[in-house]
Amino acid sequence: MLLDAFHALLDVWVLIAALCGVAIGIVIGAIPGLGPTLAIALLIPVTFTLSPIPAIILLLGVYQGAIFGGSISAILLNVPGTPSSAATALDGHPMARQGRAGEALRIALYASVFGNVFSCLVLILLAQPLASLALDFGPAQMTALMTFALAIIVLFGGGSILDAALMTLVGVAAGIVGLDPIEGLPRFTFGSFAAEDGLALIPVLIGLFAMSEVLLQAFAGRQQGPAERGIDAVSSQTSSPRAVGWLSLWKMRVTLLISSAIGTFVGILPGIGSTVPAFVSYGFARSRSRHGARFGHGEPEGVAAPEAANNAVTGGALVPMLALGIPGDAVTAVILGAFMLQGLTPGPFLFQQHGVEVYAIFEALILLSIPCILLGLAMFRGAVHVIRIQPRHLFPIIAMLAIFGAFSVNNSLFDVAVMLGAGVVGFVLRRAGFPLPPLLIGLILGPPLEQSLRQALLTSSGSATIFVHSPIVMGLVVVTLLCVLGAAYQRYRAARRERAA
Amino acid sequence: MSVEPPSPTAHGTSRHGLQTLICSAILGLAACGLLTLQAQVTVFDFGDPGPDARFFPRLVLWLLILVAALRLWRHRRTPDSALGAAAGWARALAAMLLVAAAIAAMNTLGFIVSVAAVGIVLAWLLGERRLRFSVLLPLVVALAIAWVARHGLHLPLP
Amino acid sequence: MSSLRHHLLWILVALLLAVSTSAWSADYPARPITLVVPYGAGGTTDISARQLAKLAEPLLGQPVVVENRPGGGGVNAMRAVSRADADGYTLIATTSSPTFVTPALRRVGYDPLQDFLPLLNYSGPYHGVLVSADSPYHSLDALLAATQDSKRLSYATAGALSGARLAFTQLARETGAQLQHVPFNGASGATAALLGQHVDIALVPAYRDLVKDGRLRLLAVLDDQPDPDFPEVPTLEQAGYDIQFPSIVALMLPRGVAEERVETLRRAFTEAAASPAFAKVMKKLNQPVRVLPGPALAAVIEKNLHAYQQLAEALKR
Repeated sequence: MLLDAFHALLDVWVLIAALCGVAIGIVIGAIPGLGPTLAIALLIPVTFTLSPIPAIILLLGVYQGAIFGGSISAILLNVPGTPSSAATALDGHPMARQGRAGEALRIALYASVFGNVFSCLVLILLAQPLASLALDFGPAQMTALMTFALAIIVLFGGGSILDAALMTLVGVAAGIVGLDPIEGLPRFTFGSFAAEDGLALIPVLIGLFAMSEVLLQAFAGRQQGPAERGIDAVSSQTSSPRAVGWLSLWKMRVTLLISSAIGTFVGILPGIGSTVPAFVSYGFARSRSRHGARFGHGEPEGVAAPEAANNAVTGGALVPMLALGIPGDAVTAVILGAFMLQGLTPGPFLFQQHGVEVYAIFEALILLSIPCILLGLAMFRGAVHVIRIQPRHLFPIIAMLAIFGAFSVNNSLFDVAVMLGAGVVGFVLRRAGFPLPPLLIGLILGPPLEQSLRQALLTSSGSATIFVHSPIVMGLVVVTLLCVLGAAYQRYRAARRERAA
Repeated sequence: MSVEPPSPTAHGTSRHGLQTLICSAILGLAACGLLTLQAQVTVFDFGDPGPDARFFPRLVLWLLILVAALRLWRHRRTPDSALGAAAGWARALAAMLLVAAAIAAMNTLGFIVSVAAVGIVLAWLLGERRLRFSVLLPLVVALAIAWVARHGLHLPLP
Repeated sequence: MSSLRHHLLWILVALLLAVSTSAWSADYPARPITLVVPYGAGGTTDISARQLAKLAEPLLGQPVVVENRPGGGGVNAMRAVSRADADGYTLIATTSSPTFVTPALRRVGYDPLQDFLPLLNYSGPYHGVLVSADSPYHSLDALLAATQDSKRLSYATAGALSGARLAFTQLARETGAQLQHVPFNGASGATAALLGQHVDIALVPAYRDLVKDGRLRLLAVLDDQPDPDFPEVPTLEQAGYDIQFPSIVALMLPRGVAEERVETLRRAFTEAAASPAFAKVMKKLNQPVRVLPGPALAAVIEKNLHAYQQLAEALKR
């Protein structure tokens, strides 16, 4: 079966589709606001003319490329191209500022590829059992899991726990605006129809990270912008031998494995997406590392962990989509449509009826790493020069792209206004040194957390015993408590060491 | 998890600076939210068990007040970072108003004009005085974005 | 001065052109027609609407440009189209929920009966009443009977304001059954919750393969006709309950478009929807083709809007 599938891949169209897909994906992903969903939806009409295997490979190439592409702008400009690369900016941008942009990009690329390959292997070996595992996560289990994720972000995100908690709550509160998930009635919309959709994630992301950067730059005025200090990035990048990249990658193998596992697992579950696992694995890597204090100031492991995780989500997200025909998020929903148009209806019969095609697609997913690495390295050569552009030329362009990106999500000017509002908030908070990632995570997890909690209580007729009776929930609660204790112990030890010194 | 090290102009501290201001603002907004909760959230009774639509917002807003107050109290003696130069705030405010004006005018002026205007004025604010970069570059970028959006992405730009 | 005269000249030319095109309305359509899709690109509604648009283009002699306006569960796009010029150059490919479900429950900013002219219905996925394959209930009656003795059964739907939910709420009111609604984000979430046995019932479309695989059991169909894939499964009405949730995917125009333009559009899109090419794509998408002319569609919309409005009134108390 695997060999037949491999033969199906020996086709020049497969190669062309893979190259085009990955290239388009990286470019689209690098532009703030444009994400894989839009690109895939637009390419679906193109795939009508292709045969199934190249058509699907084109779309999956875009998906993989876009998730990685977001990290390029995150590292070089501190402006994440996709929400999931916001975690990459935490250490990637400081590295770029220290003149290590090339190294950061390469680590991001290799970690991405590692995450991809890991999750694809999982997909090939364990699609069916994992799909049934995903089904075990009902509302009660999801509530516990999201609480756990929030705890990790607050406890191990770095910086003051109180500040992180405050920002998370601000994000959760912002997520309340819009229609209530259970009754469908407006909350805090002040009578505005446009506000009923709530504060959409992508405009808020662009505002918090891109627009606030522009405002910070305007505040600083004509002074030397942060970007200019990274000029030596290019020169040092050419001199650093490639072997160093692989060696440092080997040193962080455990982090890569854990992060990929987190990404794959969260990807299998519906509706969480790739941003949360990126931050969760960043938190894990930081808490595990012996030099956790270096995180946030240009630690390569802080780039590798989120990149491995957010790319591993792609393989995980395909598990329930292919095995059950149940897409977990917007991107997989669009890919599901593409599969159906090619006559490959995902669901219980897919593997029986179209085994060769499916395994060919799986193998191609792994082989897509090759164009990913080649195109990625080629693009770095050009992309690294972005850092040399004068801020006074760069930031007007970023502002223009931010307006366009916010508009493109829903074709609505309200979203552009939300983007500006988030930009102002982000600007003020960054000046005061409050961490923005917890705010983003709060906004992402708030609405589904409320929905899951209330769904769980609806199914149990309002009784909280539903949480107690589930072993998964109890397990997650125990792990969350252990994390709280672990964080407390870490703080205690650090405080004692400080006093001793 | 701070992304941004203190920006070059953020030197100096003051008793009641940014952090206190932000925490107080969050506290105030959360209190306002609690007060308007009844009016802003209607509950439609299908006879469902469990918490209603007001439960979660109330919980979050109370937690927010609690944490903001806690932070204010714990940091009552730590000096805040100063607000910073007035000229900086003026420039940032100008940039905000500029984008706001562009959003307001976008439906009448169209995407290209308003977005190019944002680019041009912003370039000027950031100190670029050469026409080639301050006018031509934003204009070309705006045209390029609009072209790609209309023909490549089929977006209905205003 | 000369530039001013120049401008005036251009304005005059533009005015003349505008007058001339509107005067020769026989030339309709003279420019591309916009078909608004109220959901994001890439979904089933979007793909099928794009296919229909492509097939109607040669019949109309003008391009049909599909424009996605997602948000608000389709309500935002409906509101925008209700305010568009009624010149026959703007259409919407809409579904049940923004047409007669959401407007019955809350303020949406348009009147689905007064502001829209239904042109043609071309699809509509069948919504089923599904239970897990190892559940003890083999018919709707058995299911409802089981809830009478103080046992509550939960049912999952695709969202807070779904028509399926209203239909089941009404069913519960009429039969006194204890049914608890649990909304999910989209039909896929509801299906997953049923497969994982976190709920007892799911009211979702796109169930065919899961039923044929023996994972789920289809007890009834919410539509007004049985699903051709499962002709032996009754509709709610055939099972003896006077309740339905007809699923529509329809083309609508803002009210006030000239009659001959409506006729042109009706002819072109009806032909496109009935074509074998369209049937082929819809089969791949696992969506039915259900062609229903404008007046019949209008009757369906009106009947259900009123029924849901009454239900909503009763629920508000």
